[in-house]
Amino acid sequence: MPPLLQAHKLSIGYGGRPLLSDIDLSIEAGDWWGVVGPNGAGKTTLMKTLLGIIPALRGQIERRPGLSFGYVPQRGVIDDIFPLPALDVVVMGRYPRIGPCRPVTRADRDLALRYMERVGIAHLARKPFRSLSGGQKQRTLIARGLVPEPDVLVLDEPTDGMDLAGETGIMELISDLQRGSGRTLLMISHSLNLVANHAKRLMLINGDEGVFRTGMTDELLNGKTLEETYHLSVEVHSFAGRRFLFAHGSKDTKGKE
Amino acid sequence: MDFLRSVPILSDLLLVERNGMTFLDALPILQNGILAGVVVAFVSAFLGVYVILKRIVFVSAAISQISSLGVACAFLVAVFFGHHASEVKSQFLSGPGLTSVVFACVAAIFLARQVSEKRITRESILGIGYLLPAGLTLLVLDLLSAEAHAIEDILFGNSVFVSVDQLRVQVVTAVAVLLIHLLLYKEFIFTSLDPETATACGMRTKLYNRILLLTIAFTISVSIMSIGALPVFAFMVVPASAALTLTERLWNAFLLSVVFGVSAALAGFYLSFVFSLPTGPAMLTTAGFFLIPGGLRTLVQRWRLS
Repeated sequence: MPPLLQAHKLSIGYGGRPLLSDIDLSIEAGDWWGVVGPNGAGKTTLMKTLLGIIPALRGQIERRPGLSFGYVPQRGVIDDIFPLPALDVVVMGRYPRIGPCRPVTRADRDLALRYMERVGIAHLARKPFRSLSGGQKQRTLIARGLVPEPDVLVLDEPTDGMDLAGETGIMELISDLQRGSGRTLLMISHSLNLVANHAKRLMLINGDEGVFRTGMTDELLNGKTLEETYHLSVEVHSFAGRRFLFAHGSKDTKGKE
Repeated sequence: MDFLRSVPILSDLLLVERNGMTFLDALPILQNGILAGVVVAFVSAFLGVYVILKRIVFVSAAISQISSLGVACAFLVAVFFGHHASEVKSQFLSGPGLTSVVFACVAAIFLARQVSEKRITRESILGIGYLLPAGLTLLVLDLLSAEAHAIEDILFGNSVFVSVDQLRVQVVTAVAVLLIHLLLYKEFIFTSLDPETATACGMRTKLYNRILLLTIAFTISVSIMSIGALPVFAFMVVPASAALTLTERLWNAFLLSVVFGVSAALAGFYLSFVFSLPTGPAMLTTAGFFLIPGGLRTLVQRWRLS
């Protein structure tokens, strides 16, 4: 099987200013990628470039013909001024499939409801999106990302700003969804501990240092690569089948602040 | 007409007399103005929901100023080539009307672009887009002082006496705009709510955003020549704001906004006749009353939460 998506000598950035260059990347069907790196490292910029939201500065992105994406943005990007029930927000995921000038059918709404049920929020279908809690909004956006039944689902910081229960619930949901469908997942996260225990593959990014590494999570999660990416001494321990990461402070405080 | 006279409350309202003429008697003279007001209110109040939701209130203000500059420029060029203001006014659709629409549409396409420059904000660009055309229009009016009355008549509209041609253009514009919105409702809503996700899912977000702004620009430029810039701006902002404070359903917001807009146009027109008030400001003030229920609802909700 050819890869779903390949990037060759890709250069990403805004306004003609490159943030990261010479990126080579290949994403296969069924992969679960964690995209990690410090703040401002270029994680979201890379994902937006791969999705076609912003143009690449240089290089090539080859997508398999007919490849479809679902995107779950950070929940804060949805403006609460819109008076929309949660179901209407989820159904929007079907709009590109329905096409312009065609109405939303009952089948589209039923499918949206099924995905709401799948993420555990079917009972909130008629509630205004803006009145939902952070976790409920995130689940609504995940359902919207799934409803076009895309080949690749991209999640941008799905647990950002959540408490422990919310974070655990969302990560369990994402794990279940990936196991159940074999769908390709790309998840941006600040939380290395979360990604370390779920993603099979990693993209380690630090645009400031020109760091872009990809590989299996087992191979990349070691003190050396993490120090190179974060400029921190990081210990990786395993206990009861789970990985735990501990940071020990900056390695080069001079000139980094 | 006899039937209207027999309806109890309606007859009292219609038979109110002003300067020796009842409202009912004046209707044949005023009907084009009333119809134009209703059509403008209908389509502007509908589009106003997008204007509020997309937080582009000042885009519509800037477009109306740039559109006005288009009218003034048409007169300036015509007078430069030796034509009289009355000739320009009589060839309205091929002259000032056309330049007004072209200026508004070019402005809409420019304003649809996302500004990524950090040194100048979108608000600054909109402020410049509002102030510069306003200043230039006033300069043109000063230069063409002999034609100023004819230009002002088009720029600020004359809600009372609207020509049949102008009314026809207004109706055709409204029908075309509403048809586009009916066909592309899904696309406009998704790309307005979450443009990045819409783009990621394969929608042509920039194209839909441009079409949406062009429908707003077209409506503004045609409408300000019927009823004036102030009431058009008011119908774009006030009914939609009032509606959005009252409902949790988007379609209800569109419906309420249109009902508020049309009611304000009719009531404003009637009150302007009865109390000899200028029509545009009367419609604007009447529209303002529809903000009261939403304001009260918000107060009650806050009181319950406290």
